[in-house]
Amino acid sequence: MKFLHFYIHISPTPRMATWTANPGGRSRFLRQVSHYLLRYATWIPPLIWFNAYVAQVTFIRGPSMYPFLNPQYNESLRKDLCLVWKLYAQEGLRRGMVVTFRNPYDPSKITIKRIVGLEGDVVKTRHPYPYEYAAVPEGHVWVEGDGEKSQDSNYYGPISARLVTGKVTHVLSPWERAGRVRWWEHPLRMGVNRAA
Amino acid sequence: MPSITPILRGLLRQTRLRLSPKPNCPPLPPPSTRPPPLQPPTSNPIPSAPPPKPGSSWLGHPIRVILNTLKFVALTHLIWEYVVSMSPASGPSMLPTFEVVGEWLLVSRLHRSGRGIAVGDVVAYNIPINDEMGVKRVLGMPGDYVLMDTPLDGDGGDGDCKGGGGGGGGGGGSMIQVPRGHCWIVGDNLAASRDSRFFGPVPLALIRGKVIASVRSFSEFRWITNSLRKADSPSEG
Repeated sequence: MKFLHFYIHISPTPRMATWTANPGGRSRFLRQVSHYLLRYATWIPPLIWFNAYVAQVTFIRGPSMYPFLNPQYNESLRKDLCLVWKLYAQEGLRRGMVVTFRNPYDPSKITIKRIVGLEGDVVKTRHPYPYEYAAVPEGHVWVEGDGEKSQDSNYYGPISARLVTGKVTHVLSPWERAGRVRWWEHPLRMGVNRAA
Repeated sequence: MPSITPILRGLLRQTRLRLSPKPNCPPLPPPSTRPPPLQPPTSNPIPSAPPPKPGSSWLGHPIRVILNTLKFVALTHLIWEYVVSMSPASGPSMLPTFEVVGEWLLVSRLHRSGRGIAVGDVVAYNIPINDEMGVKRVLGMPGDYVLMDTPLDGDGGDGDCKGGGGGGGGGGGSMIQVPRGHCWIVGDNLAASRDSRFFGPVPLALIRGKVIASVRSFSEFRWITNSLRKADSPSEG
């Protein structure tokens, strides 16, 4: 009841904070801050949308693409910064491309690997895979990391191309290696019987 | 030049108006610190554009209208992709539950990537072997053992019926354990469904969301609930 009385008392006055030394200063400040915060907050949905569907700048963690990415993974804490292009990510996949995809064993993790085989290829597998040869089914790709320590398709089998979230197009951060990812210049892996 | 000024004024209007004090308010320094002759009694100390006409401020400059439209579209698309979406479904694979045509499904995208999905839920998912979407029922989560082919199919059918069904596994069907991060999805209409029996376990990352309601026409709306509940075994015994 007391609060209500207080409210009624001050509400007709246009300048609320008459009790400060600077008349109107505090409420003006708060009003401006909230106004600018709201104006900047309206840009958050477009930014999220851009990051989710067009392009994203991300750090690469781990040695799975050694020595192509993170060549000093066991010497320093420096991580490569890459540009991941996400528009039409699942279309036009080629052997040699470096792609990001959702890990089939853990849907919350994004993994980065290189495409080794497309659908219809027969791949000579490596160590953890139970069979010597694997045929890549339709709509799937065979992905492998460049490095030795890599949990890739030899570990969980061929992955569906629908899991792909983006293609790594540029290296940004170590200035010496910055530039386009020239995946087409990367030698194709031996032991892949290519269908087409 | 006079034709350009209103456009510039419209571009600058928002910031200029906020930075300058209201016409009926006193300026920022208190009047006592200022000598009275310096302050004109009628006009603003900071020259600014005249106030916009009431009712036209939300529209403003065309560039701002375009920007606001883009922001609104982005927000709507994010809600559509991450909160809830609606899409038509067709096909006979879920026949007792959903009609062949004319069914619209409300999908909760909060359950994307298999979040909060349990056995018995109807999910919308990306078909792993092509670029289409499907709607099926989840029959196995990571670690569960599932029958790889159709129960009561082929030579095992009769034997299973005589044996009274049960959980012993039908006929000659073999079972596999659903690998981690995957789920086993099967359509309700076993005879006309292309599902995990055909392309194997589906990664949970391909699940778009959980089907929470279906709309057959404008009047017919029903919630889709999970009819598979865990049995309360202690209350039985």
